[in-house]
Amino acid sequence: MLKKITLALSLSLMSLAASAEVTLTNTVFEVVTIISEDGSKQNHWQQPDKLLPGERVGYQIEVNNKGKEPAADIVIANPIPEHTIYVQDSAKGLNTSIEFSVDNGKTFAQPAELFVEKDGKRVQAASEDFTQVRWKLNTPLAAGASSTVQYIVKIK
Amino acid sequence: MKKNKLSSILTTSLIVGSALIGSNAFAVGTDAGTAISNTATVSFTRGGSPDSEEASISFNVDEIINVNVTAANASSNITNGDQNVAITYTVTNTGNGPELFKLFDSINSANNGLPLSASDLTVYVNTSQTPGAFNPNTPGQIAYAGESISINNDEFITVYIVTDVPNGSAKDTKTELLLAAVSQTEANGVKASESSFGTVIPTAGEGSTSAIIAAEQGRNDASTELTVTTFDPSKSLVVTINKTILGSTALISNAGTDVLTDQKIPGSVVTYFIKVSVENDGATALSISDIIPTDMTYIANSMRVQNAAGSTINTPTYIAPTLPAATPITYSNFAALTDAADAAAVGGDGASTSSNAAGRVLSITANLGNLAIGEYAILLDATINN
Repeated sequence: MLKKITLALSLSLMSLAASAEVTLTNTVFEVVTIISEDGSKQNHWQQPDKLLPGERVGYQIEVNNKGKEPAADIVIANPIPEHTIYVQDSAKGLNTSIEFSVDNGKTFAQPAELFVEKDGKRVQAASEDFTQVRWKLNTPLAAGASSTVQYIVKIK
Repeated sequence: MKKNKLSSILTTSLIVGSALIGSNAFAVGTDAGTAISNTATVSFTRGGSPDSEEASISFNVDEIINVNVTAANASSNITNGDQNVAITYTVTNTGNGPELFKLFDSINSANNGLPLSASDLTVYVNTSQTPGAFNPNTPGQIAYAGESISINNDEFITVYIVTDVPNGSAKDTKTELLLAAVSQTEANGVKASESSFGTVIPTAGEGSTSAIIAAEQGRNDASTELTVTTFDPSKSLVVTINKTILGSTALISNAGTDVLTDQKIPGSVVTYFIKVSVENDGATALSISDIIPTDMTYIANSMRVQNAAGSTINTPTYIAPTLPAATPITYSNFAALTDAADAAAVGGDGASTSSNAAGRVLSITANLGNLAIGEYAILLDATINN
């Protein structure tokens, strides 16, 4: 299991090194809940040990500008993987505006503005209806800078 | 990423696994071994020209090993003597991959009043997803012989423990039957059946994924309590005893002339025939005793026994002994017993006599031990005192 992930990672890293100066890395984590002694709960992202139905998987996507000039209009898009459901409010990214799609990326909007048809009625989309998540960086990425976004899905 | 920051929390906190692994409900999960791939894309402009990059990552869903055994009924009402009573259980694979299971039927020794023994139980398996009531003639309803049975995830098999209720089981007696299903998964010497809840067995899952034990020891069981709520006296043990005179012979001598007579006069040798019938159920520690009438004398070593377990005994045809010696006659199918006290259980014949101080035999006893359904008889001779 661990070996497979490492292999996939190294493959992607290899292909990046050979191409542009802006690189993208995608890393998967197992997300577990930690209950502290005071009873508060926190998410802990750890190396995957076991990935089972019902468990949460976190994706961390890092964009890195290794070039000598800034990169602008940066948009990171990620389809929600098959067999998984987006976990509500889990998408994060500093200085980004986050939007979702319920039509496989044709249109994107804030969750409150997304609607789907259920039983012939137009209703507010729920997180399980999301098909894509998209981060728009609010500022250009300076040369040598990097930015990381993340989100969590639950395995069906 | 946040690892360093969170490592301090780890030391004083508890990590909670997924909610699903703790439940024994149906796992309606993604199949074990399914690849989940994710491709992120970044698009950007640099120096006015658009560009994009992709990064993909994939993992395979690991396997949950979980099983749920339920009894169709927690209790079942029976009648003594019922034949082919079938107790129904359902074994469901609540994991997310196909799994091999073995079945184990057992009797709760602390709750076995009928009683039953392991050899009284036969296990049948029906793999149909639309099973009916137990019927050994139904195709696919097979007698279980200890093999591993594959059950797909979210599918079930129906298991019947079939038994006969002993004829002698008393009203309100109970026996609890259990069925357990145990995962047969193992890898690198680690067996699911020996692993505690939450154990991860690398490469034991579908497509060499990890397997996680969600059922303690990879097993689950369920029980049904049988209770004799109706007692049928016609099916319980019945022992009857019947004593008849088979015949008698006397010798009348007068002036050198001997005449034999079957009249019962002083000096007559009387042959008694005592038959015991054991019906419906086996009898334990059965012994036949007979008191010799006051005016009669028991002829030593005249007890003869016939054992017809599972069969019947007809009244033998009387054969007159030779007088005056009166040596006990050997009857076909009867074996001679000796009067010397000895226990059948230690190799003796179980026959004995009880005498008074003067040496007169007051009674005879034939200890026949544990008897199956059938008929048993003894013969004995005694002389009417002159």
